[in-house]
Amino acid sequence: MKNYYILLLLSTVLLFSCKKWLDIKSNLSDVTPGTLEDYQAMADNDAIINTGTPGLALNSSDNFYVTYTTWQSLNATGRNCYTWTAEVYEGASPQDWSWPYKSLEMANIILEGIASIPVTQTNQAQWNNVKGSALFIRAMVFYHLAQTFAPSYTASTAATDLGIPLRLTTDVNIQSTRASVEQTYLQIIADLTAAENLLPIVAAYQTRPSKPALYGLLAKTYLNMGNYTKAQDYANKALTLYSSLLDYNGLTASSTAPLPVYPNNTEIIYYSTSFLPTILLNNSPITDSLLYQSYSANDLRKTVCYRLNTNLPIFKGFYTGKTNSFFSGIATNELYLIRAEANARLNNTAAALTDLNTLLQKRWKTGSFIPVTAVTADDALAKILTERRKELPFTGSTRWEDLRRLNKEPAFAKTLTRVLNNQTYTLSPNDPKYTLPIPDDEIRLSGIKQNIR
Amino acid sequence: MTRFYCLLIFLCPLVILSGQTFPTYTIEGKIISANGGSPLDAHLTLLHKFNTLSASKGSFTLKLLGADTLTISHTGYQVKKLPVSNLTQTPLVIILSEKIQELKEVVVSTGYQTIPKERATGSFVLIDSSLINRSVTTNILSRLDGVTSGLVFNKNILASNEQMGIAIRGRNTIDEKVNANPLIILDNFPYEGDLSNINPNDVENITVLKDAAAASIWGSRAGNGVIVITTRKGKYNEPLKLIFNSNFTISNKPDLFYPRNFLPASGFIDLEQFLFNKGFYDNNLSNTTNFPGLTPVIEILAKKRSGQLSASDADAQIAALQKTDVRNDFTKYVYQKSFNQQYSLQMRGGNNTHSYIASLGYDNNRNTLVRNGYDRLTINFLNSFRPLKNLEITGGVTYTETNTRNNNQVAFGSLSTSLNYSGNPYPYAQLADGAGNALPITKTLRDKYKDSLTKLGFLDWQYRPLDEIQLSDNTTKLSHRLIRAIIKYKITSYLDIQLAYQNEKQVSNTRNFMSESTYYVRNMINTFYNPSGANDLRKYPVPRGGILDLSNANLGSDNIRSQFNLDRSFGNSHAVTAIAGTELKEIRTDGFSRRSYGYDNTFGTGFSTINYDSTFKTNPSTNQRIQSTSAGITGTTNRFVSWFVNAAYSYKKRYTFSISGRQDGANIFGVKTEQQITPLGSVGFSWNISDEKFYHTKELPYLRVRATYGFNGNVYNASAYLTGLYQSTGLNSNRFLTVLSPPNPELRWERVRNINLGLDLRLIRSILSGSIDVYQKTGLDLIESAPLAPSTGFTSFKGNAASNQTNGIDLILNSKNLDGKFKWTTSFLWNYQKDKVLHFDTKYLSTTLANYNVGISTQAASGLYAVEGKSLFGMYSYKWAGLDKTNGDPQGYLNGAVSKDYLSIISSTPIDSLVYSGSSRPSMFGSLLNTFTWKNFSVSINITYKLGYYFRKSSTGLNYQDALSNPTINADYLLRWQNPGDELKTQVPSLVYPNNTNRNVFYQNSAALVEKADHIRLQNINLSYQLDKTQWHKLPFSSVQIYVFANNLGLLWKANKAGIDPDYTAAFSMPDPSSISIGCKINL
Repeated sequence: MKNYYILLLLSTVLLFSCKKWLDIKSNLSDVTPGTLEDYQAMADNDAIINTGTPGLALNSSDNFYVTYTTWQSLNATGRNCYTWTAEVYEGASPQDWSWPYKSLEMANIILEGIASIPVTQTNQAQWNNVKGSALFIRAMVFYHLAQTFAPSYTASTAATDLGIPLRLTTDVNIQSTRASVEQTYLQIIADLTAAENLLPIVAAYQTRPSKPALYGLLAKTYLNMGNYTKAQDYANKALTLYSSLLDYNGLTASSTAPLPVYPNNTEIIYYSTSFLPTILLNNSPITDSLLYQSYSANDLRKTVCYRLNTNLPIFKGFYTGKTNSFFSGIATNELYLIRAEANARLNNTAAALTDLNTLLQKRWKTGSFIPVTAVTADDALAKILTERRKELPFTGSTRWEDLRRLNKEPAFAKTLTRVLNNQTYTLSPNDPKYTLPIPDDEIRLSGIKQNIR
Repeated sequence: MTRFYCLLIFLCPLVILSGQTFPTYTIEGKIISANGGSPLDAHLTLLHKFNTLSASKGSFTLKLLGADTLTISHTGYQVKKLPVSNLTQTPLVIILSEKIQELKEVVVSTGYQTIPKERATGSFVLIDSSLINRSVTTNILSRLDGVTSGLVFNKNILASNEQMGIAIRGRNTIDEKVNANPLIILDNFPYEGDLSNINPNDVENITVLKDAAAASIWGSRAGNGVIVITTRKGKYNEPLKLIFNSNFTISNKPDLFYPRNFLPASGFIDLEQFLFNKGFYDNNLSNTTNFPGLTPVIEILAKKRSGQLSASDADAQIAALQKTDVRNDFTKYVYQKSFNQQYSLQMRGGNNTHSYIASLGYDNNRNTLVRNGYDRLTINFLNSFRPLKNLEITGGVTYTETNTRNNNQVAFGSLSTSLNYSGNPYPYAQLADGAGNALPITKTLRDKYKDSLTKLGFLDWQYRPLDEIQLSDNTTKLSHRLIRAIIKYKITSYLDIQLAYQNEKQVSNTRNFMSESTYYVRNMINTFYNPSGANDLRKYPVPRGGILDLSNANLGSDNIRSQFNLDRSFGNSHAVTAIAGTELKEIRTDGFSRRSYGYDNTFGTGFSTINYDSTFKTNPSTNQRIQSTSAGITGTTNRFVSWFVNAAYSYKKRYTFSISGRQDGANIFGVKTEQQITPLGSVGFSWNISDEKFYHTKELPYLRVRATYGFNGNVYNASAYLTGLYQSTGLNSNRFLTVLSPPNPELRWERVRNINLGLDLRLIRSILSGSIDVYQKTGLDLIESAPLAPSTGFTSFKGNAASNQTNGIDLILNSKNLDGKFKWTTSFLWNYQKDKVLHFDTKYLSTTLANYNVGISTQAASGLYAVEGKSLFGMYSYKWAGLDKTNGDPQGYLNGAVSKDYLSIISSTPIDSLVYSGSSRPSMFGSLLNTFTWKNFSVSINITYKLGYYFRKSSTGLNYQDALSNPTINADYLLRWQNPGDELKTQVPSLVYPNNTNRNVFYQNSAALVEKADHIRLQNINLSYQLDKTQWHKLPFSSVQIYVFANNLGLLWKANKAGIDPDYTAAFSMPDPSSISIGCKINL
């Protein structure tokens, strides 16, 4: 009978000692985010946050063309973007829309999670960095989505123009609704302003937001809104903190992708890449001949950024240094151009030209550069805008953004044309087709309004 | 390890043979029948002497050395054993009594207890050893195919959570994170190791638990049914038995001409020429950045166009290629006839206080793919001791070692060339020249580019598939051991307590050494090679030498169970059996993988100075980092705790009530403890009508009804909280976190409600016996994922809201058609099941439901094809209106009218206007097993059938360029509409250029491609010859069985006219080749 008691005891012990026993995590690498380190690691997810700004719109821009044969071999989205057709996706759901929202949800998770972590003396710096990063990421997402899926900012109609869904909480049960364009831009500015005193001047990695990156994004935002005073101010603030430029004389022009790869491009303040525009993926778009001709022989960009394939110029000057990888972050070259443009528009011709020449000097063969001069501010502005197109031809959707905003000024408005198989397609300035449709699955699942093209 | 060996020695059976010598003596005797006293020429054997003799006219004389045991046997009589010694009185009179034919009591096992089938209320299927041993396979579970009621092997398209392909009474779960496989129990505990470790020769029987009363004892893991494998054990008081079994299996090469996703050279070249003329390849031809690879035909056409090759030469070269068929080369050089050898030796026996079994098994399989194979060694010991009257201690060790050779990576359908036709090289590729020497085929880069590099010091950059087979050195070694111990103590005559423990450990190591001669390594070195580098380090960022990949996966599990068993009768009327207990389980896994560059296989040295950090300019045109080896270790720990009780009460053996309950807990990550635990249970009742006094039907001597009701569960293997995953493969060297799923704290486990009504009957003289079970399985609180708008940042959200139901009938009929010298028995299985979705929140679009491209495996993530009121595996398609007479366009219907507005058909056909054919899983299946016995010969033929379901056949893409690439490269291209009038002969539309995506999508998803999958198959035939010592006295063993087994004999009938075997419809899947096995089984 003694044995019996021992066994009975044993099974009783088994019965009641298991509650604690179940409190062990199942997967070694799984985590329920909760600590500051977890949130920092989320903000460091460059595989999502720094890789997927929308790239679709570049398919519709004017720096390249394709042959009819190539066009025929494209998928529907590529073909329709190229010819500015009203229906674009034909049922496909491009990640250009969904991916940035993934980054956004991460930013919102961080912002909600960090609110319950008490700030102490020891964690203050990291806490600030995490919160500032999340706000910056959110602003970056809104900025890029607005450039593709919402109409360009026009002060008179911004309050009623449909912007993008501004999701500010993590709750997936809340239905998305479209804010106005005005609210969209105000939110970008609000987030960036809130992050201004949280971010460090120098980030540990180019993929992490920093104060100059924040000022740079504000400068871009205000430039798009046509607020040149603020654009000038923020470009200036950014360049005061970081102004390094890369001398193209040090690059091997013959290389297939001559620019330095991450993290060696010293012009980059904040590293980010866009989705590949379907057409440009094919390695077959031919650079617009007028654009190519506009580079003079001593301009290093002519050989660094282009190669000739049976006498036709093909772009290879990927700013990321990697073939088929389009840069969409914040870099000093663009900031010099913003400050120059804003100064020209504010009538500070001399300051505008100084910035332009500072940049161009690094792009020309040593000793051959003759500084650009201009008599009037307008003359300077025209020259700056030309140089802007030459410096940023395939950088994010910058060219697309420029077409959208400059179309509102008769002096710079441009009608785009394409010819395919003797058929001509045109896109007139301020056409509603300058706003891409929102993918069908979003419309279906959240019921938000589609863009009318 | 020392402990392990100690244990081995401890557990080894001690068979001591006496070595002492004794003087000889003689025994004389007579053998007579108990019934009438007639002399019998019986057969005599001695335990310690291996010669045997037979009595003559009932008399015998034996010469003996010492004390021994004499065994006397005669056909039709019970075997008798007598101890003999020099003290034995002679003459000895031995009386043999006749054998009484008695029905063996059938006992089923639940893994917790064994129950006589006659007293079980639940639905059990027992596969006994003769049925298991009827087939010859390396793997145990495949022996259930075609002989198990209610169980079907789905061979075609499987969801990611049902890799085993086994479904017991359908499927009652939806989400991919819920395991849809049945639970496999080996003896007492769930088996966590690789199922192919189990040697079928060690298995005594298999019980399949189908309903709640049968399976509920396994609680939350039993929702998909349970398969209990019981291994052989020694018996107390049984003389030593030695069984040797060996067999050889030869199977044919697979039929490479079967898969439809292949376009023979003539059609392929035709297409290439068409596209070439359209300028489709111009970009690639002029591409001097990436130099993309082009097929020989395109190169010839380009040379012809540029004048480098005369038109006549070009045409002649193309004409020669047109006659080539790469499938012949594959068949000849990549495949071989497989040859499997199986050996097994078993020894078992026992005395009054000790029983033992020891077995040794060895399998050596040569695969149908050249240089691929598998071998397995299994060692098994199990001992039971009864040191005290009431105490039994059982201990055992099973050890398995397997070695898988995976050198042939170029199987038909998996040879990737990156030429847009991934899966196979171009059909006119030649793998070898006339003398059998390996030839290169184009992969990734153009020859033009490669040729320009030879001078610069690049390594040979050609890809020769046949060389790769020979160069490969890729093996996986797995070892698995299982230790178990059971202590059972009888407290009183009716109550005992037992404590069982099992520990499992499996280690799997894969070693893939790629020498510098392999394409993979040459390609890698060349890609990074920098001819202008200052020294070797700069020249070869990826160093010269081989690459060694090692990976390791470990699994460990511990189970401990304490249990009370009660078995008590009160008077003649009442009997109670009950078990109750508790159980803990932990399963751990971990693993890692690593890579060595510049590895020298002779000295075991590698480079440790690889620059993983820098991005190098690579050839021909990109920038890359060298792929670094993962630095982390993956690991999981899963814990379960359970309490269970199971009781049955019988009144006069006529009425049996059963009840069971179980509560489970698990450490499902993120869930609160209250929700980690779930209670499940069942009740059952059975009534032996034929035992009632009022029952007088003599023709039907046995009749019993059963009814059960209860709940099983399914484990959800994901989290209810917001969880993330740490990774470290970003741009920087720091780790980062990826968010996996949005939170849902309301998440619960799934439940499956089971109702089963059964009837067992037996006609007089067992002419006909069998059972019929009618059941309903309802999946409740099933996890479903609701789609979310992309702007939420997630694509879906998990919740317990779905439910589905399967109604079915399992019928088993066994008949004795002829009894006498020539015996003929038939066993017929018929299973019917119909499932429907009761509730599912996501309303799928018709585009999703009809989409041929969304395979079940992809769809499982969001919920298969769940539409309320329809089958979970519904087959949907667009209504088909034939081909346009004028141009061969496919036609469908839009708002009831014939239409070619493909975009509108796809985007706006309402779900109820789609053609719903039915399920893509059989709604009726079963088998007909006929066994004929004459004298010592026995033949059994198994015919299996699957009926009432559908499949979608593959067809050619309707765009010229799609028709060349996966998944729409297809022989149907040859049947395409080309001229008016063709619509009378074919349903394959014309092809177009440029692409019309929606036209193709409509066709691929149309009803024109849906076929009935019904078929009847001659699965296998077994022929055996059994010889006993009692029949043929010169036989050196007590019995021998020689058998021949022919498997996969082919279809007898199929509903489709397209020549497709419905069990093999996936791209490049080929029917299992027919095989023949020859073997013998010897009882020593």
